[in-house]
Amino acid sequence: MVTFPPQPAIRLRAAVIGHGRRRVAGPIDLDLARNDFLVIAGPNGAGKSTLVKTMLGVLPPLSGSVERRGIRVGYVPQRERLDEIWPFSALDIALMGRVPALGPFRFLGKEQRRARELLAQVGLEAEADRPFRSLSGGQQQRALIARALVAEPDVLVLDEPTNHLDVPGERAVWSLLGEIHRRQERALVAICHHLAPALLHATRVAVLRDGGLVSGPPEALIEAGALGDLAEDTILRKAAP
Amino acid sequence: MTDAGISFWEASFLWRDPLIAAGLGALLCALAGTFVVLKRSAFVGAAVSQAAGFGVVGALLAPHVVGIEVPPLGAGILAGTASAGLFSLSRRGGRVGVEASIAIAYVVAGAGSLLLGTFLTHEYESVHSLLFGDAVAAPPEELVALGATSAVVVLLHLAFGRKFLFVSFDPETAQAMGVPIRRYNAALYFSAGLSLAVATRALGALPVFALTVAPAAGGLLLFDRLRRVLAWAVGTALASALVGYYLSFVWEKPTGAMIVLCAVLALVPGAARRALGR
Repeated sequence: MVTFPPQPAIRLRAAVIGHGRRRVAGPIDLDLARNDFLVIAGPNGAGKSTLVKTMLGVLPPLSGSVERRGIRVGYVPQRERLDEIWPFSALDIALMGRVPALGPFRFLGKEQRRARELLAQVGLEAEADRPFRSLSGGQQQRALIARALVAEPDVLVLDEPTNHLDVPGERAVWSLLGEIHRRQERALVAICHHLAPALLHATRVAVLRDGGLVSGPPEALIEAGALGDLAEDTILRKAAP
Repeated sequence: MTDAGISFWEASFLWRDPLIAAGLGALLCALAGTFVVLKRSAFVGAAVSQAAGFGVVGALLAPHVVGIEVPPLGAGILAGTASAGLFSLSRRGGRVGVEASIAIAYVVAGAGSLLLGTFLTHEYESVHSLLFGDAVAAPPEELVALGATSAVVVLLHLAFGRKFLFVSFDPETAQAMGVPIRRYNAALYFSAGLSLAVATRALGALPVFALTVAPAAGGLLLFDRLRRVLAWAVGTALASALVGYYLSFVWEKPTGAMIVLCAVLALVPGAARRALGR
């Protein structure tokens, strides 16, 4: 009997990515397997966010194809982009993860237990009723991860999840993401600048540079020297248990 | 009780309809205001009332220019709502930005009304009344417009309120998670534009602007939960409209100005709390 490997959650073929008519990078071939933990790295302006938005279908490719096979997406934005004028609690934030699937005249009362469970899973059980704006940067990031998980996503996408966090906060977020990846059958995609702590958990790395993309397991990219000026991070990778 | 107080209750046939109109207008302003203040687009209220005025002047000119009778109330509501729809097309962080779009709409509609108004010298009084409302009187068609608009807006918020909040707070995530953000943003601005255009006709531009901004801002200064902010905004807007109307009657002062004065008082508890550092 012949068995076929599972279909990737997202597949890019000869995809040229960009905004409007402006090409940013490509052509790109990339498969995101359903249990991948893919870290996307590269210098500023290389097109990391554009690539992720193209993968999610927010931006169409300029040419080539992007296939998504009935996947549900959970998204974690850069928290600095959120306006703190909004009077939401951590629980309100987590509950928003259910909103995309919410029909007209439906309310979120029944979803509260699940949202509290996920807040507990990210270590915010005691902070559920605290105002989101009064949480620390790391706690806000965890609340946003809980919101994305409430959507029960097949693919969890994070845009620079450790920006402006101190070193312990950064490590804690990557540990949490590694735990989520190990515990649950879902793909994770994270954009990051500081590769060292991410490499401890990623199963694949994609490096965008000079309009092209190189991807593979972290060890293979390190061996091939594909991380370029990110290479000093490999020291930490090798030193990791 | 003073003579003035007694005469107020005796004169209920005079104030019953205007008071109902003021209450409904205040409800509409508070609902729209909570969103526009949170979206940092507080001047939507001023721009919508200017655009509604432009529609009214256009409707009054229509019989002279193209020989067609256009109902001024409907034209004002249409122009106000359309202007709010245009604001929804401006992107936060875009090259021009929502605030600049609102400011441009405000000055273009204001200048347009003034210019076109010069051709309506014989209808100055009716233009002024239609532009800036008249909180002292409420004809039946105005009450119907306010009641219908309140029903539409409340239903819209009950049906899609959570989606309105999501696309307003975090459009990037909403879009990534498959929510059609332009559609919901347009519906939200449509409901705000409709509310403010109808309320402007009933209460006047200045009270509408005050009831849009001050109660919501007062709630934000006081509370950390959206439900409480909204309750404060609706409660104080209603109280401002009703108390302002009553005081204007008994003290024989301009109704709009008294409503504005009461609305500004909604800021006092929050401002005091901030000043005390609590």
